[in-house]
Amino acid sequence: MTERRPLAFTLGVLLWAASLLTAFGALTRYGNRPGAAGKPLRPSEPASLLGAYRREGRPLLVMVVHPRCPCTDASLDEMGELLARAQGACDAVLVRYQAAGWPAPPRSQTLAGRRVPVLSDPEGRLAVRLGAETSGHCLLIDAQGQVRFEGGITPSRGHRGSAPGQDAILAVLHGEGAGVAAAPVFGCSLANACLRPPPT
Amino acid sequence: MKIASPFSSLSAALLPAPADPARQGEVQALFDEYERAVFARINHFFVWLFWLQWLFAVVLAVVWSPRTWEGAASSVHPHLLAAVFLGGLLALGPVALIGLRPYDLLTRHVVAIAQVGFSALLIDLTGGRIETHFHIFGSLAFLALYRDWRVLPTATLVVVLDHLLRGLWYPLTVYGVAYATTWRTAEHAAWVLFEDAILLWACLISRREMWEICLRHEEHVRLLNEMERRVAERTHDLETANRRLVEASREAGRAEVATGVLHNVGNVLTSVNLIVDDVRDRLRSSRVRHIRQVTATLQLQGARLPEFFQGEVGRALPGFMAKLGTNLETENEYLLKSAETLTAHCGHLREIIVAQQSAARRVGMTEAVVADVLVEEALLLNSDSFSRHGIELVKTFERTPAVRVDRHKVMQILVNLLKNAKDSILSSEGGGRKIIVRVGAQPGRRVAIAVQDSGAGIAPDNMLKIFQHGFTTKKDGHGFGLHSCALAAREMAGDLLASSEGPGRGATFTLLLPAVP
Repeated sequence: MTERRPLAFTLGVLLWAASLLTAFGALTRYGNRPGAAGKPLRPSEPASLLGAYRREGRPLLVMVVHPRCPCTDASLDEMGELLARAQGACDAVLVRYQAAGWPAPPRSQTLAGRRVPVLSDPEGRLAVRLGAETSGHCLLIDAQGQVRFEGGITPSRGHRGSAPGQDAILAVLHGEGAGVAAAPVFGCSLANACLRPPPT
Repeated sequence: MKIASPFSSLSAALLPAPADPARQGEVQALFDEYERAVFARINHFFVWLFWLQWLFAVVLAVVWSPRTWEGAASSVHPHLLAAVFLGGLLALGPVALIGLRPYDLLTRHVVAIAQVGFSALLIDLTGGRIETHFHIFGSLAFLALYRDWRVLPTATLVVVLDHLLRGLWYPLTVYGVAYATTWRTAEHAAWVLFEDAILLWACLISRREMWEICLRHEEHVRLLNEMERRVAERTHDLETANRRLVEASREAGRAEVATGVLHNVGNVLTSVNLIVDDVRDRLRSSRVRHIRQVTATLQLQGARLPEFFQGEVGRALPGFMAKLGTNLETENEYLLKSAETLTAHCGHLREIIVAQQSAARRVGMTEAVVADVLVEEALLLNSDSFSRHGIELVKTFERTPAVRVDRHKVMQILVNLLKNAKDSILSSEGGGRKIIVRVGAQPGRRVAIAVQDSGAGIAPDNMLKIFQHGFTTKKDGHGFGLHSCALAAREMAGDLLASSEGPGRGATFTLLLPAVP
């Protein structure tokens, strides 16, 4: 039934498979390439900058997002998931990048049934002071005002699913571990590194 | 050239062998044809599926992740590029192969790779949604439609390798943990293998059913061929019998003509015999001997001849001679008339024989003739019979175009029709004895020769079977005549029709013949 297969045909198939492998490799590499992770100018600065949103004795989970980044949906979904799993152990606030001319953000956003306040951040100036240069960057400020976690909570660009960042945050909230945990951030660049004030 | 596949033998081993090993080849050929039809159908399905998946991927990227951002600036998102180019690569590769080598196993493997490749692309484009992972299971089910289980390991291998390699290099994207063990890969693969096992079983069952269908189909084809062979044999037998029947009918037709000829010749010969007998009787009883007696008596008188004429006998002799002369003159006139009658009968015989010879010489040949001539020849063969039975013959001949016919067949038909008309009149108890023969043109460039009699007529029940072989209303008939005539008429592209107003009201038989174009 099967005739002898021309060599060109087999070579063509191999070439096609190689092209496929290359393309998928590039896509996978892109998806797993974390964004730039900054550092707060001073460890205590996030707590002071977001003092209005902190309540005494309660940790505060902060997420910096770019509203038009496709990865933001996944990051927000994972934050809602995290808040649900934390069972009210922390407060939360969203810092929303705001470019000139873009419509003003809503005052709050509902995540996992909780209303989370939204703080508009023109040109990412606040974000850079918090040490966030990539959308989806999270900070966990403990009750004492210390940053205990910084980084992302998604497994890759735009992907949902459990990620080490989530586990680290939950561990801090459960009083486990010490020091500052970190995780890679996957999202669009906030392009605010140039706004970082020179160190004093 | 056939390439043996290590998997082919496994599939073949699961298929039941035909009862007759000699049929294995035919069944295999049917199975191959069936399988190719399945491959073609599923290929067609996948071509559409690839176009739709490509379109879906592009739409998904346009809606979900059209652009990537750097602050307020943006550029085309790599997902959109991937949807267009990688999706195109995934779709165009197998579609091209389906067009080039639709039945090649490698084409199906490429389809399998591309299909699970689309699963990976769509999972990536939808941000790793767990729901999109179901695409893999759907893809495996689609691939099983080929009923070729060999594509399932290919698709599964791609899925397992994808998980294994991602698990090694980018475990976060697959398992959501930074450090994954190969057991996680095995766990994911196990669920795929679970579906594979079911689909593989379904494929083998389906192939077995295909094989059984082919077995039955081959059996049906074999039976059909056998039936066709038998039908052909029977048809041949029937055709042979029909040819013999037609030939027998023709023989019967020719016999009818010959009988008619002989009948007429016999009639004439009877008349000739009667005349000859009469002439012989006349000659035997002729008074010509009285001349010899008178002469002898006169010679005996010698010198006493004058006294003899003075006597009683001598005086009566002139009167006697005068009477003898009158008698001999009457006898001579009678013999002369008889001789003329005999000459006329001989001439009639000659005409009958010449007409028959003329018809017989043209057997199987068609020629253009005027219908009147044929009718006259046929009437010649029957005229004596008509006149002897006191049948009045009326002829109505119109001017008609010539007909192209086999003269012998037409003669056969006309003699038969005229004889039937005569027999019908003789068998009828009615008083009228009349036959009307008409020749006229008909629509459709045909010439009609109608023989109408005042005989017994035809009952409506018999009208439908009047031309059937073996049907007759005569006591001594065999039912060949009209059947043979109808066949002969059709062989000349003509027709023979019968009509009657019922029993005792006569009948008309019309012979339609094609006119010369």
